[in-house]
Amino acid sequence: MTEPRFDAVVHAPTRLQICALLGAVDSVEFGTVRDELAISDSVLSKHVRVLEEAGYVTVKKATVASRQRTWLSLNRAGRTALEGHVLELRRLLAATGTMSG
Amino acid sequence: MESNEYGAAQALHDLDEGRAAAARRVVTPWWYHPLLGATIFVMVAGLSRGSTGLLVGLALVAQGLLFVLYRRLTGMWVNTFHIPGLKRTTVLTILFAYVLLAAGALLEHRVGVPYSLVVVGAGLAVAYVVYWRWIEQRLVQLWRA
Repeated sequence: MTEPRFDAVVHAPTRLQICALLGAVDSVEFGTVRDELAISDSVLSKHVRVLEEAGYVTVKKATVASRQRTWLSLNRAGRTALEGHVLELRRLLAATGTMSG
Repeated sequence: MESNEYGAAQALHDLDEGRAAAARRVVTPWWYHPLLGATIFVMVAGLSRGSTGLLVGLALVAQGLLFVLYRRLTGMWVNTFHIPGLKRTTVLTILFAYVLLAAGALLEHRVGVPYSLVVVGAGLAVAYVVYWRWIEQRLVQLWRA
């Protein structure tokens, strides 16, 4: 069972959106993530590198019909970090809701 | 505390947006699964008495190409084994398909009932199309929830 845990690497808005998309499926093509988030290649590369260095994202390159495509996937550590982070966000939100209401 | 509240709410909203993006992409064109169903029919019917291995080989190659096409069309790859809430259904469906296939093979090659595998192939192809239509709808529901 995953414990609620705030993760600063995941929490950055763009990285959170990347993780949310990758977390729903097995893998997503680099261009698809870029288009869905409406960001540039360089911005996505920068955030993917951070997630890769944290050990959360696995990057695979595949050549199909002489075109190289990059596939991104959230690995087990990444899925655990995302799950813990979501639990922590919900806990924070519930706590602030209780305090204000 | 205020910024935490805003941050958490906004972050959860962004997470929902990410899942909604996956939901928008997961639905394939209407012809995709019927085509894949047709390759399943050809592959299973190709195991029938009197058929050559060529049909099975061609069906496998066609399936490989359709999987590549799926990645191109959706820009992602989904394995229902890894989707919470769909793992059990996936395992049961695959088991059911193998039992049906084994029954067809037994009837045709041991008992001698002709065209059993052709009938099983047609049944599996239709079941596959219906099953994947349901899976796609289920995934959209899960990710938009």
